Amino acid sequence: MAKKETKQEKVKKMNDPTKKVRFRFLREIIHRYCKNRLAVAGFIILILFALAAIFADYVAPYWYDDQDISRRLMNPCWEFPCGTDQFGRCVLSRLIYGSRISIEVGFVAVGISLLAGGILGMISAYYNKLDNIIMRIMDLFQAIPNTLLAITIAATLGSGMMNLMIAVGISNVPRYARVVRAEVLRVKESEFIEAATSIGASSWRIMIRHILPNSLSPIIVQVTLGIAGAIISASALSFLGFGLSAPIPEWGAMLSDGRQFIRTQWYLCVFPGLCIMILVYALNIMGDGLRDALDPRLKK
Amino acid sequence: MLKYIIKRIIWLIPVLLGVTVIVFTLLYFAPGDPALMALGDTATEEALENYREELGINGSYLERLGRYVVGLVQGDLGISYKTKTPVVSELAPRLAKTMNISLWSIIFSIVVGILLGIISAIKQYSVFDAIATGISLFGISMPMFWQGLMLIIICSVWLNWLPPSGYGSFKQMIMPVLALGVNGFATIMRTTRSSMLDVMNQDYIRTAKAKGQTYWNVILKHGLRNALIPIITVIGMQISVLLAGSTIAESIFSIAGVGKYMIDSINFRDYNAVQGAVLMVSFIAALINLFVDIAYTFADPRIKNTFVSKKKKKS
Amino acid sequence: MAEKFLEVKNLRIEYRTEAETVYAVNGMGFDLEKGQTIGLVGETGAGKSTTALGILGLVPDPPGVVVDGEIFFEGEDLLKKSEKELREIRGGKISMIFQDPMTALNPVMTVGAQIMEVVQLHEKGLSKQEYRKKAEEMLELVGIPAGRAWEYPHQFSGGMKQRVVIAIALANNPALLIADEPTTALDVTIQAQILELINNLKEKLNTSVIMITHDLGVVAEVCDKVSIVYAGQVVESGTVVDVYDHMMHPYTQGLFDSIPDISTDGKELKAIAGQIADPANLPVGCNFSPRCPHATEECMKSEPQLREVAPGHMVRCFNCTKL
Repeated sequence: MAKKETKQEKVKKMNDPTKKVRFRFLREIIHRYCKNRLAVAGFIILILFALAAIFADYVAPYWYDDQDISRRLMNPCWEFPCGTDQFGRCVLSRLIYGSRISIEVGFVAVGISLLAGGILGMISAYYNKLDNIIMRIMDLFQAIPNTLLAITIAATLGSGMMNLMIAVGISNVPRYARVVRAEVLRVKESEFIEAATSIGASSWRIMIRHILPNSLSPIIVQVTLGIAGAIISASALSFLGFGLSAPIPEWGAMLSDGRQFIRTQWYLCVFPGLCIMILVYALNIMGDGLRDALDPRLKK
Repeated sequence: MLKYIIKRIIWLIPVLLGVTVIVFTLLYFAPGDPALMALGDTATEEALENYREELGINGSYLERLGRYVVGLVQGDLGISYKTKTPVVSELAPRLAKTMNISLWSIIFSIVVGILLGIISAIKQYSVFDAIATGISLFGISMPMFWQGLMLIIICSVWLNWLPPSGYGSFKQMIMPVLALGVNGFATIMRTTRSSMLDVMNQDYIRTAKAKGQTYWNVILKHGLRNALIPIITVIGMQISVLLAGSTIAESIFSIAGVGKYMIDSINFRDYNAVQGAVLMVSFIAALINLFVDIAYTFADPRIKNTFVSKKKKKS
Repeated sequence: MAEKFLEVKNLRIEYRTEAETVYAVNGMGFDLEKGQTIGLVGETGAGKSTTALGILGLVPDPPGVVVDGEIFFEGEDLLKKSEKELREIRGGKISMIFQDPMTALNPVMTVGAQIMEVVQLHEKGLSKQEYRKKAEEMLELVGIPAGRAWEYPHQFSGGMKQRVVIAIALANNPALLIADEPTTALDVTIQAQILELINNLKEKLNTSVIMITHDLGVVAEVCDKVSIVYAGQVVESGTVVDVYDHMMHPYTQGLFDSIPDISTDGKELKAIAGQIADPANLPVGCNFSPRCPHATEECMKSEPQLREVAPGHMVRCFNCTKL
């Protein structure tokens, strides 16, 4: 009986008009997302990687640069589940530390793209005069194939974590500028923005308080898929030797190092790639799940 | 229609010019002075300047840019710092290899992607659909360079079927084409599937069935013909991705194409060569995208007509 | 007994999904003579369109399943025909005009090509020129200049598109034309033109027509016979005079009462009480009983059958003669 009452109270609270409607909306989205088992699996995988990254010092059996020539190039065994590399370093430990780098690079690179692209996109959508100029410049950047642009920027900036993030981030700016612009334009046309303008709200206020929250859902999806893409691009750059190099345990760089042993120590070329793929796969299914959860029309 | 195509071709000129300026500017700031690198710290300022002049990299930013663009129009991409030969003559033989591999991958990804996408859509929720959709998700999640390594491990190291590197024979082509094509195939397949599912629920499909049209004609003539519109857009995007990806494929399979040349040149700080390679691939991508855009207007009459009606209004 | 031109008997169609089974058509039956027009009238969701799709063998499967019934067309049961035989009939002897002309045409084919397609499928052996000419003739027949044949659907207005859809439907001189709410999506002025067009063509080509609509005015204008449909069943049928002037079923009365009328100016419109029966959850007994003002205990328990109350006038109600 008591249980029933609390449930009713809960319902009452949920239906309480004074409570912000947004929370109920959010709850509905989470509910829809959780119905999609694959998407939930993706989220769990991401959390596992994140935990591994945060607690790498406790989880990893060895320090990532713990060299010992006496145990070099050991096949996977109980002590070294993923084997050891040419310096006798534990590959598993390096992979665990590597998740730090990939996750950080992915998120920061997308952050850079989103920040720059978002500002350009919003300006472009809001000021008609600048729209054409900005979008044509974006066209030019997009005319250069993405990977080539990233490689060129990386070649100019040189190696290093920050440079890698900037190279990947900048090469993706046009894509985010486009998405943000399209979304802002769509919301801008809608009636409640007209209403806000008619009561004399300033453009910046309208932009930040009204347009941004309403254009979020496609941008969230784009960001999730974008992080996946950024992780691949960053590791590709490292693989080619333009990103991070020894002894930093970047997955792409590890693959690049492992190539010379491909005939004998296959595992050096398998596990780092597997990590990239699983992490990217998780982000991709999350992106798909978010798209379905945020747009109920898609899911019939 | 013809006017539209001509207009698109003319628009290509500022795009190419802009791309040149961007790439030139980026590499202008690249570290390392080729003259200093070649002659060493002990060289006199005069000797350095002479060396720079020889390579055509003396003068201010604008002077150099102007000279480069003028050269470009005449088909001159400058000389390689490393070999002192014109970049164009170094690129030409490599381009054939890059294009050969890229084109086969494009064909592979389009044919297989559209085919599997259609089957997946018309057999929605079947076992085939589940497997194909699952594979395509892995396909877009796999980094291309890892695909290449895995192919080498499986097909060359373990099974000894295919040579792990080189260019020329049919057997040597299989792995690079596959490695390069998988991402494109997966993306095209996903787009085809969702686009076909969308189209097959439209009323005009029912109209076609009510006409007594055969099953496959309904799917191909009415279904695919309409589904093609978003697919073409994705194909255009994938071609750029694929051309750029050839850099990675070439360095994995040791193919002396434009991409490998570019990577090697960066390591030598041979920026004229890098610039030439980047521009050449970008130009080809832009050209292919022009064709895709034109194909698009053929696929979707609504676009063609918005243009025609605009023209009419103007005159 | 003379063979009927079209006879639908006890047709049952269900849409089965994991969540529920929707009983869309529940023992539908009607018949039609050559050259006649029958109106199927009912609210949205009464199973009229599903019946039409059933006749053409186009019920979307999955989730649609034809559970039971027979559809005799020129003496042969359509439900027993193979897909190949049905394809011969679709667009040839039986054709259909769809509800929404805006989406019924393929946007990437010229209207001429879309008319040509249906001719090519059923009339083999002509040259390309002859097919093109036939397509242009059909357009002229429905009042569109032949010069516009090679334009795309988006260049036409809604009414024009519906004319194109009609041209496609009539291109092969069908013996039976199914018109599924052909005027619902159109403006009132265009509606009249389209109805007139169908009427004229029907007389010219001696076509039988099934007119599906929820508009009783349309039926009065073009139909010989009418069947009132509720929850996938015919509840009253007969000639237009029978049904309009001697209506017996409470649902028919309800339908007529809900038409706004200038003469009843000032009086309130009488809408039928309650919601249309949920086809996923049909009531026990008479389907209309929950909304019927005259429902008795009998109506809640057992299902009434169609009864002939006058020659050719059938009613599905226990109490109609007592009212």
